Amino acid sequence: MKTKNIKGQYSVLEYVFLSLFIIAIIIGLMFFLTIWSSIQFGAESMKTEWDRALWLGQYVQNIPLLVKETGMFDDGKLTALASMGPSKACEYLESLAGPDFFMELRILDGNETQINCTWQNYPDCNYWEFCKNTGKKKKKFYTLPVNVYRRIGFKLQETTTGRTDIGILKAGVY
Amino acid sequence: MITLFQLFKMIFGIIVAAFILYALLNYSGSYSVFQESGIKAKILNNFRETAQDVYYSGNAITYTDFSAYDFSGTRYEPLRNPPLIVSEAGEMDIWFPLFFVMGENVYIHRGSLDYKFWKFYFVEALPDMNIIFNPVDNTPDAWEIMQGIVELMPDTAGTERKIYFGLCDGDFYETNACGGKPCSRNDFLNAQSTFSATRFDKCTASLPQNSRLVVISSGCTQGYANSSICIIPSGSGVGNFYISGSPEKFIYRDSLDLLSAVLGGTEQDAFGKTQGEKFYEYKNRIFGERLKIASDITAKRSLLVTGRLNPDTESTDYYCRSVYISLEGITNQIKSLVSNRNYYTNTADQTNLKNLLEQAKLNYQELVNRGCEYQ
Repeated sequence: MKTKNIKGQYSVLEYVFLSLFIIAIIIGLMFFLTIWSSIQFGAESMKTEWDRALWLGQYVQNIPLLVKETGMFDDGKLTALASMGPSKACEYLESLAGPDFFMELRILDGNETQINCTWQNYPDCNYWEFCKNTGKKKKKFYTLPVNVYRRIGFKLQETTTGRTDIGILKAGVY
Repeated sequence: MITLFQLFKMIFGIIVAAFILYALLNYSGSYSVFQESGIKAKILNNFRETAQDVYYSGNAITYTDFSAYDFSGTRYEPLRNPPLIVSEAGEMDIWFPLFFVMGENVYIHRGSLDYKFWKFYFVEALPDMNIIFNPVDNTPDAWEIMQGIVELMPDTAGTERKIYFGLCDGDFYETNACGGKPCSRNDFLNAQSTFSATRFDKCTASLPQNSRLVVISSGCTQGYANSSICIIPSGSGVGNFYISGSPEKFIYRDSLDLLSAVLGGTEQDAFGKTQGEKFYEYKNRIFGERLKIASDITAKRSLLVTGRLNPDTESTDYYCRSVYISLEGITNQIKSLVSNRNYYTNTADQTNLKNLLEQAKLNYQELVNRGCEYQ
């Protein structure tokens, strides 16, 4: 009688454990699916940041405020913007492209020295930098080859003519 | 005879099964909503990327992904800072000038206003629609207004999209006005001279769905025509217009002022503000912000370049200097004018701005003609 009772209790326990095991598997599956979705979502937002960095690189090459034509920056416009001071220039650019943005442009003129373009030294310069934030790490950016139209390209005896240089644009997000 | 253990198994089984079923149904419901939101967010994100590509390239395209899900709750909020596309899947910011009207299939097209020293690019993302004009004042000024609006719209001839233009005369609306077929942009512009010979009565016809009625009449007042944009023609190019449902009288300076109101339409939000009014304000805000930067840069650049040109009166540079100096003065005036965020609410400012922009355009063209600047 006692052995039969114990056997009966084991059967009940077996049944309960089996049920709990099935429930645990289902909960585990739900947990896995939720984590998987979160990882996918995270990967998507990471991709979005890279997309934004790429977009910024393309965008600044296309806004007529800075360029002569698509893919060709105007050095006069860049220097005019830089001469407004870093905070105003950045304020202007952020109003166009959003926050946490930076851009640098270096002309490949064979000169190893990087010379920031200012009101005083224009056009004898080869570098512009906007929205520099020393407190933040440049997180995601693209480096793209671009053309730069130099309004004061050649100073001839009678006239001043333009020329086109090649430069490297670095644009991205902090 | 059923044993106690069998009874226990049955009751326990029912309880466990009910719990599992409930949990699974509940979870699968939430999961499918989550997945659908994710797909919708992706579709909206793809839309933004496509519109950005159009902004860069100027190549128009049809975006069809909105037809895959129900986006009826999605709305464009251009007056938020930055402008947002709001849906149940979340909010998405927009950093380039965009006039977006939701539809299953939208045609994305880039338009521009060219001031020579600066171009204002904007993107229109529009579903199939009919823009119906009712030129009660059949005058050259009225036709000029219509032409200005139509020129900024996309030409959908040869595509599957149907953005058409038509005319309404009293209770009659002509659907096939261009040689027995609906008028696409270029058809309408080409056929204008044949239309202008007609006398038009105030429109009372029932118009097809997705229509925008544009009334042009010197008699426009608030409530003159229902569900329409009512424009008072002006010889100077600066005038007034009304949007049904908005109590205000608006000022237009260029065709995009009118087009933005037309595209927005007369539908009101929960606060009673029409989408047309929002689009009009958005256009002027973003235009003002960008014009301020453009004029500031142009003024400084003119000064910068002038200082580097050969000052010798014998030099060809000499002819550039005076025009650059003039351009610098004009663009500085433009900058100070648009520094006031509400510049577009004052007729005198709008007239002044129109004149200054015209002068700046002429100055820049003069620089191009003299070989001092690029086109």
